[in-house]
Amino acid sequence: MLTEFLQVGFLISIFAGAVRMGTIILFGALGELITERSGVLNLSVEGMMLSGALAGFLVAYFTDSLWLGVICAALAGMLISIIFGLLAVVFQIDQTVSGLSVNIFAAGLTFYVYRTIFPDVGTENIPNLVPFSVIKIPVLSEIPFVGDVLFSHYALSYIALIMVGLIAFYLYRTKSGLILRTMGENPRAVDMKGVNVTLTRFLAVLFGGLMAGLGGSFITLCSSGLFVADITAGRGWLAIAIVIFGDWKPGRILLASLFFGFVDALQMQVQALGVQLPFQLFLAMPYILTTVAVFIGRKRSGQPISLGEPYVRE
Amino acid sequence: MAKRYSYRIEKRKDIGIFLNILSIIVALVVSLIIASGIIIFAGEDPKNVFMAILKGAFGSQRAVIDTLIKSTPILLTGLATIVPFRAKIWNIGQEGQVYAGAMGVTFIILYFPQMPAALYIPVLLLASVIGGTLWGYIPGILKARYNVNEIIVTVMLNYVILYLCTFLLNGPWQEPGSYYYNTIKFPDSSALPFLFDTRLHTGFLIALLLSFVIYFLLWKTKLGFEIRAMGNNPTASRYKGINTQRLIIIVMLISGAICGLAGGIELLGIHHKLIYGFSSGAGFTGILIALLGRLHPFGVVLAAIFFGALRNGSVAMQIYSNVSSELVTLMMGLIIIVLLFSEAVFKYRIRRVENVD
Repeated sequence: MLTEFLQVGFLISIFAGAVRMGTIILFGALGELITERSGVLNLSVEGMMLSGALAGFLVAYFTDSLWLGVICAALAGMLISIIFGLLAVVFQIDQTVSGLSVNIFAAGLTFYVYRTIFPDVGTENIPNLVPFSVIKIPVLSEIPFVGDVLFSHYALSYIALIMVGLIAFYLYRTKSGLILRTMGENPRAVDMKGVNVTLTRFLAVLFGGLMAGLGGSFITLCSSGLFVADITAGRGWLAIAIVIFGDWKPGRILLASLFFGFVDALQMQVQALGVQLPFQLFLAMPYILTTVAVFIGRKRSGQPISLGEPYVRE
Repeated sequence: MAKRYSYRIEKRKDIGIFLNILSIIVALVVSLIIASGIIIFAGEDPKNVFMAILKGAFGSQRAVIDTLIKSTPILLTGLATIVPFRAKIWNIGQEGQVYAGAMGVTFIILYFPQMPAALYIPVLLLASVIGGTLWGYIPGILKARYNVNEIIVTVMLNYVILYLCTFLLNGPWQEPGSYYYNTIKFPDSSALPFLFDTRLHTGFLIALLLSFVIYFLLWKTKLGFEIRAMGNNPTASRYKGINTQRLIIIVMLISGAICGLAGGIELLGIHHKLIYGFSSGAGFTGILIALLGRLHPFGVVLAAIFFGALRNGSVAMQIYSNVSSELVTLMMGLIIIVLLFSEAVFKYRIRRVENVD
C-alpha cells in the first residue's frame, strides 16, 4: 500500500483533488466571510448551496448550457438569501432562528422540485449531464507535477482563487471594505456617518447567497454531473466552520479550504485504493476534523464584535 | 395652534398570547394558499389534494392511530429542542442523538440478550437515554468549558454518528446473510406494549407525559427559570450569579436524553430492529416542530400532531394524485418561513402620534 501511496500519479490526484474539493468550500466560505464581516451570521449556507446545486443542474440539463447553469445557480443562491435577508436583516428576527428555518425550507424546496421534475428516478436511472472539462493553462500546465496540481482545473476553481484576491483587496484596500468591516464591529459608528446599515447588510447577505450558489454549481456541474438529495453533504456547514477557523481573513480561509479539500480528496482516493479499513471512517473524517478545527479556532480574535446582533436604531 | 398627526411604525414590547395565536393562524392560512398555488402549478386540484391528506390523516380510526404513531418521534425531538433553545443554546444535533439512542438500545439487545423480562424494556429505554445523553454531552462540554460553537459541532456530530452507525450495520451488527443495512429482529419481549388494543404503542403516552414534565421543568422550577433567564439575557444571568456553564451542559444533556429516548421508542415501538434510515429525519423535524410550537411544550404537542397528520396524509395523497409526497416536506419549510414573517409583521404596530410644533 505504501508504494502505491507514494506514486506520483496518486499524489497528483490527491493534491489536484484538494484544489477541486476546496473550491466548493472556498466559495461558500468567502461569501459567508463578507456576510459575517457586515455583522450578520447567515447559517443557511447549506441551503443556499443546495439550491444552487439543483438550479445549476436543472438549467444546464435542459438548456445544454453549463454556463447558463452556473449563472442560474448563483441567482438561486441569491433568491434563498433574499428570504434570509428579509427575515434577519429587515425584520430583525433572531439570526440563528432565521438561518435554521431558511435551511429547512431550502432543503424541502429542492427535494420537491427535483421530485416533481423527475418523478420516476430511482437509484439506477439518475439523470446526468456531461460536466465541465478542465482548462489546462498553456505552458504552466506542462510543468511536471506542479502543472497537474495547480494549473489543470475547472474554470470555477480559477474564479474562486481570483475571488480570494479580489475580496482581500476589497476588505483591506477600499473605503467600502473599511465601512463593511467597521459595520461588523460597530454599526452605530457607520450609521452616524450616514451609511445605511440595513441596506449594506442586505447586500452582504445577497453576496453570500451568490457565492454559495456558485459553490453549489461546482458540485453538480464540475465534480458529479448529477443531483441527488442532500448532495452538499454538510459542505455549507463546513464553509461556516472554515470562516471561524480562518479567523475571518481571506488568506487563511483559502488555506483552510485547501486543507479540508485535501482531507476530502484523500478520503476519496484512499477508498479507491481499497485500503483494508472501514470506509465509513474516511467518510467521517472531514466532519471529525471540522469539529477539531472549530475547537482550535475557538480563541480566534477576528470575529466581528457585533456578529449576530441585529442593529436597532435608537 | 392646530394639532398635526403623523403615523409611526414601532415595535411592540410583547406580542401577547392573542396576537401570538393570530399570527400562527395567519401563517397557516397563507401557507395553505401558497401550497394551493404550487399544487395548481403541478396540474392538480388543491381541494382534492387537501381532502386526500385530511382523509389519509383522520379518515378512520386506523388513520388517526397512524397519525399519532407518526407524531410520536417528532413530538419527542420537538420537546428535546425547546429546552436548549429556550436558553439560546442551539442544539442542531437531534438527528445524531436519536441515532445514538437507537444504538444504545441495539447494543444492549445484541450483547446482553439474557435479562429478566420485567426489567427488559425499562433497561432498554434507559440505554437509549444514555446513548442520546452521551452524544449531547460532547457538544455541551465543548461549549461550556471551551466556548466552541455548538451549532457546528452538533451538525458535524450528526454526520459522524451516521457513519459510525452505517459502519456497524455494514459490519459487526449486520444481520448475518442480509444484503441490507439492518440488525437481526429484536426479541418479542422488547416490543413496547400497545394501548387500547390498537397499534398505538406506549411511546406516544410517554411523549405526551413528557410534555407536561417539560412544562413543569421550564415554568415551575428554579432550573427552568434559570434556563429561560439565560436565553433572555445571558450577560445579566452571569451577573446574577447563575452558573451558565452548568446550565449549558444541563440543557444539552436533557436534549440528548429525550432525543435518545425518541430513537429507542422508534425501534422498540415500530421497527423492532436497527435499520438504516429508521428515523426518517425525526431529529431535523424536531427543530421545525419546536419553532412552530413557539418553544412551548403544549404548542409542540399540537405542532407534532399537525405534522404527523401531514406526513401520514401525504401517503394517501400520493396514491390519489400526481403530487409527490415531498410536497409535505416543502410545506413544513414553507409554514415555518411564513410564520416568522407573520410574527415579524405582528411585532410592529402603527401608532398615530401628535406632532409638536
